[in-house]
Order: sequence, then structure tokens, then C-alpha cells
Amino acid sequence: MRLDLTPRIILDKSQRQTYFWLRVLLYLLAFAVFFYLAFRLAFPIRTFSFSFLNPNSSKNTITDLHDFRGDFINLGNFKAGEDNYFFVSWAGPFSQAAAEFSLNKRSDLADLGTINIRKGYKAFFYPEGEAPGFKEGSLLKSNSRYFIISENKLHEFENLKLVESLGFNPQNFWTVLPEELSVNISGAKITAAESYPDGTLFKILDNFYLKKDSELQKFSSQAAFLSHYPLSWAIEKDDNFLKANVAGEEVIGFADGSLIAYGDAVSIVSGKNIYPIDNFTTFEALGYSWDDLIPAGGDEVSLYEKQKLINLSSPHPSGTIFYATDIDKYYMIHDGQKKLLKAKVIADSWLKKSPILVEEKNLKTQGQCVLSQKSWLFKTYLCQADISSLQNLKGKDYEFKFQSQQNFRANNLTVSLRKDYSFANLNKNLREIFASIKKNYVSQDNAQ
Amino acid sequence: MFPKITPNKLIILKLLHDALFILSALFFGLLLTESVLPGLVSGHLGLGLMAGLILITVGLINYFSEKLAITNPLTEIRISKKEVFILLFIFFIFIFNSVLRIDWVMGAIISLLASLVGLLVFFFVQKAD
Repeated sequence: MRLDLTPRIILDKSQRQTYFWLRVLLYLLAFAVFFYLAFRLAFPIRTFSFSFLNPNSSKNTITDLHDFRGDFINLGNFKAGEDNYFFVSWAGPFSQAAAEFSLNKRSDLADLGTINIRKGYKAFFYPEGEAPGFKEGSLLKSNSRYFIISENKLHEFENLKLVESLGFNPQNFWTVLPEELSVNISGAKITAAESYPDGTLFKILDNFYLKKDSELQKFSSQAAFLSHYPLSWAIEKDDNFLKANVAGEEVIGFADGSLIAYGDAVSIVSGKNIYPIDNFTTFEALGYSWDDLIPAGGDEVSLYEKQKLINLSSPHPSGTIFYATDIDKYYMIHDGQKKLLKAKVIADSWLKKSPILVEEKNLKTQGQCVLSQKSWLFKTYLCQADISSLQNLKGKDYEFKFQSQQNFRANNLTVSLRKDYSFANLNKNLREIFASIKKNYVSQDNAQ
Repeated sequence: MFPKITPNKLIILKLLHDALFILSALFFGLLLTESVLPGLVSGHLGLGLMAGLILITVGLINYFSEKLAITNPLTEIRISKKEVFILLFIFFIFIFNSVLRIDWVMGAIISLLASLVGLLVFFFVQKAD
């Protein structure tokens, strides 16, 4: 069957021959375009960009551009000898990375500097801060000595009898090593049973309270209490105890880093704020587990101030705990710092959900390349790095650390990530595409 | 072996029809892929660019038809009722697929109403012609 879309336009013999060959050429071109598109879908290249001429544009997809002081690289002015950082974020492994700087004027230099690339989570790349001790209210024992963490200090109970007379169950105190106790500074010894120290936890009727500033602060729910402490640490009291003590106005919500589900939204709690997560991909790319979701009521959600959506390029908020599996160490994120939790038992006092799994390799393994002039004609410098060593590392953020050899001004910065062209990657990519299609059509409840 | 190719306007007009067919088929394929997995195509290629290319091709067909003083073959296309219902069915599937996540009954109602609106628009346009 001949496909003639215009049978009413009649050509003579020589025109027909010309038309035939041009048509063959056109269809071959169409096939070439089709195969190119299919190839691009099978081996996607993710491109990210930033315009220093228009730094507030929503089209900018390279994030957190800053120098070693933490200041934004204003107008693309890079200074010689200074470390500069920028990030791109994507859920998925890549084996090749390229960064390209477009300068505002032509430069004579062959090389601009070196770029080092790391993969992980932005928050895990934060500088290290002072190590925190046990969480307020922790009940600890060591060598038959009993302690409570009150106002962040370690207070020892004078004897076991005192512990029991206050209503604590000695069996519920966590056994720790003497050196682990030294992380919190020592406070005064508790010698009298007249009053409870700050940090003591109570269960009165079905409500939970924390003694803080000599007042009883109520937890918003049992789930909120359990996101902070084990149930066994609360001393059961009756209504008379509540009447005899001053009840504080502050309501304690979920622990920092908790994942709360309200309606269709999942949010991360951090201080007085909640950060809703924009989609399933971001939730999983951040390393969270669906098993850690805590259903929350509208009254509990209203205790928090809703912040802007957490997206793929957002860092983990304060309160997040990372666990480096290869070195068996826990870190807590707080105010832009990564703080080492010196022992597992200290981490346990803060952690009531799965930690975000990372590896020390995230910090140490790097891809590297030199930013060289692309061609003498253009004002662009290109750096291409093999990052296959980062491929199997956990994380969604690629950190680019760039040290310039000279002062220069860049107009644009482009980063692209891609996988190697191999059958193994083709197979993997196709599986990912089919898995995404399945996820798109099968509801999350059924998928789990 | 190969003839000396000297395309004239008549050949260009025929080739433009072929290009329109190819672009439409490609556009439909990409639209289908995008509807099955949102972001798969639009993450790499602007569908607006494809639509723009189709419009440019239609414009060129119109231009060459006028230059050659022949009736634009595209204006002579008559769609049968059967073809209208096939197109509407495809339209229904696309709409249904995009609203599937709300609730399938609600999605079916929305898609049906949208298809009916499409059908009415088609009849009004046909009557106006």
C-alpha cells in the first residue's frame, strides 16, 4: 500500500523521482530523531543551571552557591584561592558529571581551577559542632548509681531508696558506661524526695507531662510523648498531683525530626515549625522510612507554623539524626551544624525513629576534574569528571567544591549529570521507568 | 545513481504534508508517553516546541498552497462521524488518565463531561463552516 497524503497534487516523472528521494531522506531524518529521543529517555542527562545575571530566577536549579564564609557568590565574582561551593540534587545514581562556567569576558588562562565532587545529603556536609549529651529527662544507671538528666546536667540520686520513693522504677533506667555519663556536665546531687527535678516525666490520667522550669508542661498526645521518650520513663500520678503543681501553658509537640501525617500531607517537625514534603520522590530521596509516619490530628498540627515545602534540593531540618553505617557513628543536625552523638545510648535518647543512613565514604569519596577552556573561540570553561565511585553512595545531593586559580566573573554556570552508556544501565533505567509507571497507577497503600 | 535533486514548490508542498504527518505522529506518541509518566518527556523536551513546529508546518502548507494557487488539501479534509468518535474516545482516555488519582468515578464523570463539551464544540464549529 502506498501512502500518498496528497493524491490530488500530481507530479511529472522527474518530479516524482526527486520527491521519492527527498521523502526517503525526510523519513530517515524522522527515524533518527525518534531514536535520538528514545536514547535520551533511556539514558537521561540531567542538566542544572544558574544565572549570576538573574540570581533570583525560578529557572535556577543549582542551589546553595556560597563561598567558604557561607556568603552568596555575588554577581558570579570568583576570587583566586578561595573555596566556593554549589549543589545539584537528584534522586538517582550518575557516573559522569560536567560543570561549565560561561565567563563575562574571554580569558587567556588554559585552566581556571579544580572542582571536587561529593555525593550525600547537604546536612551531612555541614561543619561539625559541639557534641550534645543525653536528652533532657533521660534516666541512666551505671555501677549501681542512678542519674537523671535535668537542665542538661547529670544529677545523681543519693541512693536507690530515694529513686524508689520518688516513684521511679529502677529497672527502667538505661545502663550506660561511666565514660558515657561524662558527656553531660555534672549537677547537684538529688538528696530529698520533697520535689521532683526538672526533666521528670509524668503520666496523669491519660496525659503526659514534663517538668520544666518547675511547671508541668503537657504533651499534645501520647504519640507526641512517645516521639520523645519511652513510656516506661513516665511516673504515674493521680489528679491530685496535677492540682498540687503549677501547670505550664506550653504544649509539647512531637520531637524534632518526627514525620507527621495529616490528611494527604507528610511534614517534618523541627522546633515550632513543620515542613511539608512536596512529593513521594522527595520523601524517599531524603532517606525517610514510611514506617516512621505518625498520624497527627488537626489540633496537633495547628501547634506549628507551616513553613515552605521541602523539595528535592532542601537540606534535612534541625533534629534529623544521621547514622554512618560504615563507622557506626550517629550525628544530629542542629542549627546548620552536624553534631556527633558520642555513644549509641546517647543517640537512643534522642532517636525514636529510623535514622537517615549515610556512610563516612560520603564525606571522603570524591570525583575530581580541572576546569579547562572549552575552545579558544568561546568564553566557556568545562570540567568533566568520572563520578562512578559515587554511584552507589546514599544521598541525593552532589556537592561541587571549586577553587579558582584567578579572579574571574562568570555569567552562567551549568552542571550536567549522566550515566554511562551500558546495557546494565539501560536495563536499570528501563526498570526505574516501569517502576515509576507502576507507582503512578497503583496507590501508595497497595504499593507498600 | 542518485538523481539531481531540484525541488520545486509542488514537491515542497508534498514534503510538508509528510512532515506534518511525521510531526503529528511524534507529538501524539510523546503526549501518550507524558500522560503515562508525567515528566518523562517534558523533563527533556518541550512539548510546546513540538506544537510550535506543527503550527509552522501548517502555516507553510497554507503559504505554498496560496503561492501555487491550489486548494489547500488540509481544508478539504472531512472527518466522518466514526472518526469523530474515535478522536473523542482518545480525548476521553487522556482526560481520564490525568484525573485518575482523584477518584475513578469522579474521574470518569469529569472525562465524560469534558468529552461532551468537545463534541459540542466540534458540532458548533462544523455548523459554522
